[in-house]
Amino acid sequence: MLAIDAKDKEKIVMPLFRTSRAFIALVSALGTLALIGVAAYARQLYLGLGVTNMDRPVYWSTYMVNFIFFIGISHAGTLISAILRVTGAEWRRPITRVAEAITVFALMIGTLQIIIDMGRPDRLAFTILNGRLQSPIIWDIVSVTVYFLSSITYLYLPLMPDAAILRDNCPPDAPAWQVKMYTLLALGWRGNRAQWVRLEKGIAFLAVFIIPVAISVHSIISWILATTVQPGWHSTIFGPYFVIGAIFSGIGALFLAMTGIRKALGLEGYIGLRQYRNLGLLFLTMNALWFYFTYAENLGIAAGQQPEEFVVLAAKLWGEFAPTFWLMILMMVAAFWILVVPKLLPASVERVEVFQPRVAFASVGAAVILFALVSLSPRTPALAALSTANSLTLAWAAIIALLIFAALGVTFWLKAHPVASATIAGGIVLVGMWLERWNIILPTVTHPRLIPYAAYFPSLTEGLVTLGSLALFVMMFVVFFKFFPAVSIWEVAEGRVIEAAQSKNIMPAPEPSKTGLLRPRKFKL
Amino acid sequence: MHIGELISAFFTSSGPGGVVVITVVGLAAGIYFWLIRWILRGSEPEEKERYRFK
Amino acid sequence: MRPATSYHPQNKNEAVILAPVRRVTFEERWLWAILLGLMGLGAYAYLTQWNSGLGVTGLNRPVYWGIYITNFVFFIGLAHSGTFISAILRLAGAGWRKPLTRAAEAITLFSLPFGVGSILIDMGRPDRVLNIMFYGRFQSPLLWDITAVSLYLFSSIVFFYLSLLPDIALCRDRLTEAPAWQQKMYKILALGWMGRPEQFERLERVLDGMAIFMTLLVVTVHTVVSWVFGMTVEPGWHTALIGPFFLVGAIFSGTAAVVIVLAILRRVYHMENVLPVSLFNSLRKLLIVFTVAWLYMMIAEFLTASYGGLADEMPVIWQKFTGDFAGLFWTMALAVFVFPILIFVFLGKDHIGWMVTACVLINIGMWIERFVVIVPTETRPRLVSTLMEGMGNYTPSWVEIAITVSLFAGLTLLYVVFTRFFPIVPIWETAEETAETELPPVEPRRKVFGTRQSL
Repeated sequence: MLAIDAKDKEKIVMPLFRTSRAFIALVSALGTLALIGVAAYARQLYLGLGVTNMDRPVYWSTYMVNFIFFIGISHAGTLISAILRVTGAEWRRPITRVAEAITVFALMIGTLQIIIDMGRPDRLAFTILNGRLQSPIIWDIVSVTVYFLSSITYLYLPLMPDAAILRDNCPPDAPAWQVKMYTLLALGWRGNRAQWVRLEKGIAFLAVFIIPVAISVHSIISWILATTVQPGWHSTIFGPYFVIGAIFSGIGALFLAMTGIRKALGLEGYIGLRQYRNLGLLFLTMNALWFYFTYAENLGIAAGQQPEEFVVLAAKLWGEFAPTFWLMILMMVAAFWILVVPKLLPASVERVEVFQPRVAFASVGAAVILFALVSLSPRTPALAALSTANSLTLAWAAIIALLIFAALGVTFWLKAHPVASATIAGGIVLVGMWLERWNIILPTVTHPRLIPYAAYFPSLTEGLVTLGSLALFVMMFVVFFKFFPAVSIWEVAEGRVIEAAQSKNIMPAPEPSKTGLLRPRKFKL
Repeated sequence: MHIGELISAFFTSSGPGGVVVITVVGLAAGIYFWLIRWILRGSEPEEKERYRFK
Repeated sequence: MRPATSYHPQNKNEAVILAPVRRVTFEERWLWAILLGLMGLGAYAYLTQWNSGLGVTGLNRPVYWGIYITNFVFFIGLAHSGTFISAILRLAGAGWRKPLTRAAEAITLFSLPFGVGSILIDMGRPDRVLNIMFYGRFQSPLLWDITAVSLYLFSSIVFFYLSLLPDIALCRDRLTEAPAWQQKMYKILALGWMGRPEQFERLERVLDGMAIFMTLLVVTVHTVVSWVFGMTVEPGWHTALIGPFFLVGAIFSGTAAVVIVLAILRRVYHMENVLPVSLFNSLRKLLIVFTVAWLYMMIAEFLTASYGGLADEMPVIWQKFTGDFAGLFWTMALAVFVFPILIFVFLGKDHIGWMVTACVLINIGMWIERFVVIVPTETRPRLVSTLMEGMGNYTPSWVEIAITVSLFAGLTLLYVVFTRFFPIVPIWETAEETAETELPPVEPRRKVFGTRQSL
């Protein structure tokens, strides 16, 4: 009989046996969206890939963007569970299960995108029957499969003791099939010392093993693009660039998932500000690294100005992909701002006018109006004066200044709501990273090396399938946490034991010094 | 006079670069000088130290 | 009124750490003499070059950047060791780095001037470096290079000086038997440091802030150095990965250099208690990560480039894999990756001798790696058609080799002289450790920017 703390039982175990109406409503809504996606896919299967807008040369588009995006999100689990475990970061304990679940489901949906992308999915068997070892696609299949199997194992191993706890602590009115499920999954876990030692060793080994696997997964995916000679793709930086982007988007997804679970299941006592703060620091590091890699990549192309490469960069900077490119940059800057600036501003300046929310609203409004004018300016005689070079530059500078004011205005609201700001930043980053994948794939396929320019806009089918995939992902996630504890009960309990033991350490009193030098080290900006 | 041309002229003509180097290093020098003096000051004279009487 | 002496944190190892400063041995002065001699040889070689022009070197068209630029990149890379240990590990809250900070920062401080000097040595007309000031164009990577490296040099000096300040005051107060000029030097350099808690508090805050700034600088400096190559269109150089590639290589070779220096200091100055084996074990784990990261960079670079099979890039790759530079390339691969990873994983734990062997191999290999990045591209440039018969070779001359040797001798000399005037282990930073090391061995709680006893 495995014991469990009463508060843990109330907060973590009990919700698994109660089905709320909100849950049913959510699952129905998501299920409907997923079904719509399935219907769209069935139609595509029947009518052929012509229902998408993919054509020569745009043979990889929305589905491939989704694929890279979802596989990218899957790096959340590896980062939080594995890397933080290996470096001994205790604060990871409440969020490991959420992260590992994201990994597993994102991998499933990601791989699904490839199958969706194929007009003849049965040809998938060729990769096994006729695969050539020198193909990056084969490496991709191998590495993603290994990663998927490792992630499921890595999700399951810490789940085993929890399943045993559930098996032993079910309320008397629990449905029989649920108790049976936990009993099966617990695999007869008794919780004695020998089993714990082995479990810890297994998890530790897997943690160290899964990190290089995860890095190889996203590197190999990037090398599918980089080993071609297409301009914009044939860049050596893709390996680390994609890995950093993946971890970045993973943390973003984790923020969203953490907040959702925390809100829905009332787990504020477990997933607290410490998690948000530390993840926020990692987020900022990844953000900075992402900017570094983006700049490094594009600077080389801009400086080299080789004809085929520069066309792709030009399309992104001021061509037909300028909206998506600059929107992406804006999102990443906004995410950085949201997490950094509230920390930097002292509370004393709160009363200053520029930091009031009304300034933010006014600025955003003004910026939108100005942007509309600038976009419309060449087309109407009344605004012709605005379309001269100088006025356009000034107008853009004004828009940027207004956006900065808007950003300043919300700063104190963000400072007062750390959880909300982290979640908003996470959401923004997810949008931004999806756009980033878009900006990597589409400009190159529309400006390839040999074929002159082609245009592409996603079709309804692709949109519905994307929406359906997203809905399916969230649905699987929600259903999983309906039946399994959102917080890893034994890991959190273990953390409490460690903290309690440490607090009993008696620090030897320092030798009496004349000026009392030994003071707590605090980092202050 | 186009703003774009001005910016382009700043980047491509010879001269501004040296200004940038000197400005950056000079600014750093000034900041570090001030920082070292700030450290050595220890603390600003506090209110109650200004008055001899409680 | 200023008290007679100021406050210094208690450190039970103070006598051991100050011992080298108190006494200079006879053999030491012989070492200085030999190093000075080598530097003199280098100076003579440079004078030859000054008089006769760059023709006395092996540089030619199209190999116009050779050993001198290799030295430049190598020394700047070496300089990143100090910042990594002091700044980046400080931000990561690794308390075990404390005894190492000054030794590592000293490597930074003394290798940067030689890196910058390599550029001046490479110029046939060194006076033209002033053109950067008078006629610098902002779009030039060389200008960014000069800005970044100058800023880094300057900031490193300040960062180093600030963390040295309390110990200079310690020397001023404790080393009463030193010659008068030396005492006066301490007195001037100590800037009146009294060791008040407010001063220590402000010092710590500034060091924290500078740690962030130095981390950003490290990334910027070595990336900008790499962009001097990356922003050309030469095959092998014009690769987007060159920024992170150089950066990882720099931190890698720098950390290996720190291990070598620490081992020597530990042996020569009998600092077994101050620099325990656990430090080397922590560094070993970091080095394993860096070795694998470096391999990853190499794979990313060569896999992508060779799969592309582009006509201008392949000759350079073949030069490295099977051509004129194959010997150097595969030696490098063995020295930087194969042997070190085997040594680190199987032999390195608790064994300082093997660690030093691996790290020496790494540094030699990384020097060769810089060479192999720079020169093969020049022997097969983009406009290969311009290569006439007999062009595209490079053989370093005695001048270049002598100058390279003298640069290393200079670095060693400066370092060794430094250890005789200032304590090489920060006494004030390691003082707090004396209370914390008596804790029972429980895994410490991880605080942001807290202190941790081992990796």
